Amino acid sequence: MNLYKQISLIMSLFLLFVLVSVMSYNFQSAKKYAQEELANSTQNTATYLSISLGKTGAETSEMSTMINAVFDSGNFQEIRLLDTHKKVIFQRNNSEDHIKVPQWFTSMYELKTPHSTATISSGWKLVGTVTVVPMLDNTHLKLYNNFLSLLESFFFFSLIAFTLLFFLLRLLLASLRKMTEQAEAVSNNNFIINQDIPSTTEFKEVTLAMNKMVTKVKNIFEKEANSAKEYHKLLYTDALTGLGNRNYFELKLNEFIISEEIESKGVILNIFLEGISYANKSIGHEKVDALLYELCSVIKQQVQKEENTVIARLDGTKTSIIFTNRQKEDIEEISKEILTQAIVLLEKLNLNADKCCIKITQLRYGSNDNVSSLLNQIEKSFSLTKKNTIFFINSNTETSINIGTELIKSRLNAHAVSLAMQDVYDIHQNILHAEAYVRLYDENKNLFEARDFLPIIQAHNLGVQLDKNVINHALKISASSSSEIAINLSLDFLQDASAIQWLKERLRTQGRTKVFNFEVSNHVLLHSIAQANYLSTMLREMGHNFAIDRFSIDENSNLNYLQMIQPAYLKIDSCYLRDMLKDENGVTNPALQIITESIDAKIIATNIENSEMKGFLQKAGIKYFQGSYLGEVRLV
Amino acid sequence: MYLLRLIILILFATHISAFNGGPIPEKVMKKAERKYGGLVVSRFLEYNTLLENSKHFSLHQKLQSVNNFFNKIPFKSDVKNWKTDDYWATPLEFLARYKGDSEDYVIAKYFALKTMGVDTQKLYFTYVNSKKFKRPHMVLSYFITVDSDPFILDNINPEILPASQRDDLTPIYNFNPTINTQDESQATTHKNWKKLYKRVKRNKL
Repeated sequence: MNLYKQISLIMSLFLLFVLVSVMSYNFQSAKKYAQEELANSTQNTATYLSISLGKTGAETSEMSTMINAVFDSGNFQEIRLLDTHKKVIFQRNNSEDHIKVPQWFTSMYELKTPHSTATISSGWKLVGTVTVVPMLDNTHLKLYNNFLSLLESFFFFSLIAFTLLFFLLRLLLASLRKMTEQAEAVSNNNFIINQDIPSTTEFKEVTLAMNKMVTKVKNIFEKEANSAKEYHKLLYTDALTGLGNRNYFELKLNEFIISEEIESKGVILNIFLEGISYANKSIGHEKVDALLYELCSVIKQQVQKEENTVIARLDGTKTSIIFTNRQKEDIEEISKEILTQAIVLLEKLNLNADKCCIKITQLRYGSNDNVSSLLNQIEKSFSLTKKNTIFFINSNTETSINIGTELIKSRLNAHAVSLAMQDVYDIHQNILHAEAYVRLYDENKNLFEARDFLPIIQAHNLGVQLDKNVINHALKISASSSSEIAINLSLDFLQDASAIQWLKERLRTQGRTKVFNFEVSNHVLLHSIAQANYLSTMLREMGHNFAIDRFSIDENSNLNYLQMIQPAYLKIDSCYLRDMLKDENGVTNPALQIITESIDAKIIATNIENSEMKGFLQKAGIKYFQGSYLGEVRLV
Repeated sequence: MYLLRLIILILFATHISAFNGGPIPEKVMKKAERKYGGLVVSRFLEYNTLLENSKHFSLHQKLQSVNNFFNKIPFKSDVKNWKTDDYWATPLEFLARYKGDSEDYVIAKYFALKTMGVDTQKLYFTYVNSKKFKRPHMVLSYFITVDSDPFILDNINPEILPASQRDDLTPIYNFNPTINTQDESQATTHKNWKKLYKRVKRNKL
């Protein structure tokens, strides 16, 4: 029971006690007053009657008439006339009639029937006594009416008192409620500052202390986020142009190649400025740097309209752009435009075209390639290219597997997708969860991975349907799975409000038998932070997890979204993680770990392919791993 | 305030035994001495002596001695004595102040006779009209039997005479505190009597 309820209960009981006591006291007073009044009036009647009777000269018939006149008023039970020897001379009786007042009411209290006697004297001579006994009906009725008005007042005052109590308590405990909200938010790693400082001393001190603590944690988070971002920039940015550097190119290319998704295929556009030594001698370093800068600006300008691209400067003279999920034809226009504008730049500087020229090559990559062979091919391609021309080379291996659109649609409609799983382990080799990957079979039992059919899925807007298929399948097999399951959600699914509602309903019908982890890639999340926040909150409330896959620091956004989203874990490519954890002097840089610890999120290192990588990361404090070295993707 | 008064009363009740007509306890005398001076003690002692001597008195002697004892006290109206229209003084107050009106004589005589063992059912507070002074007056009537002519103990006429010889008085109403029951405290709803009885029990001075 919370404090508000406790105080309400105690105050209510106290108020009830006071009101009942007051009511009881009032009723008792009224009863006492009525009893006294009854006794007084009876005594007065007896006294007046005795004086009147004395004046009759002790004449019995006159006295009886006088008594009849008084008795017939109906207010008396009995009037009795006795002589000096206590013998009854005359008597009138009437029975009590309780019909006006409920029986239960009269049984609640005792009302004494007064018997008032007065001496009758005729001159000095005693004649006898007269005894008067009143009817109690009227007194009962007065008390009953009094009781009803008291009850009415009681309910009226109770209503006012409880309403006042309710509002006063709300007012008084408003600051406590805010403190509780802040405390709950802190427990949920949501660091909010309470701006309304309560005036109550104790509440004020606690609020100030919590605010101070929250500010401290926020500062730590921001400091480490800045540090991580700076370090990321240092590692992956070219100082002159602000583009990604060779490390960045390798990191991204590797990430794309091994990706299960559409980025695993595409084209790399390479721009090479040949004859830089000549240019330096001819026009000087400064002008050459300016040329390079302008060349990069031209490239950026041409590429910025294109989505899903990565630009990186491999060295002083080579710049490459990765176009994911694109064909040679798709970048033909851009290639030509860059070449044209680059030639214009060179011509402006009056450089000898034979000694200083632009060479552009296009290279296709696929999931069977590796980064080093692709880099070799890029180097080789320049020597095969004539000056100021574009040259295209095919990558060495690209097995062509085709899956038809109709087949995909029929599989999705029949809910016939298959799943593959890869386990995530902790340092003790315990399974944290298994990540689900989608697979499809064709009629010939050929197995297709996501990257084989995702372009079709995307082209035909089947992303939500595919995700629903995967979720249904994963939820179905979860009963037989010993570990938790992680499911990836696409951008389409995240941005589809009805799909999120569907997921909510689906999880509700599933029950709380197992925890499910829903992952979205960092790239997808940054496209839909609001939707991601909604989904994260919804899942948390339902007892499930929201997580970020393929996390890396984005140059254009700060890391505050992590505090808002509160992911259960971040999956980070092991190469990127290794780079981020080790600073330039080989000393561990704990910024990423501090950030994740402050929001109570785990770090899972992905793409672990050898023991050296796992060993290094484990030594650096990483506790969860995923990759072919630990466990291959297996079909379910 | 009420509670304080109650506590003081309880304390007094445990230290001073109730007078209730007499004899007057020593502690009451000391209290009276502090309030009214030494003279009052001699009156109280005289009263106690009267009670002591009355043990061997006949009924007539009891009536006569009590009537004489209190009739020595000078008359004073309530307005002058108590600054109020009507006040029934206790025998202690009457003796201590040594002045009072007709009700005070009747009350003091009633309690004294009661202490001497006279049947209180035969004693009546009689409201009368004094023809001589043309004002309301009160006397104590003693009825030997219920049908007999009562003897009148009066402060105007110190002689105890049968009522039939008191032409100067017109009887209006007879009041006996024990008319309903033997218990005087519960006898009646007569307010003046009830207040008086409480003060007597408290040895009010």
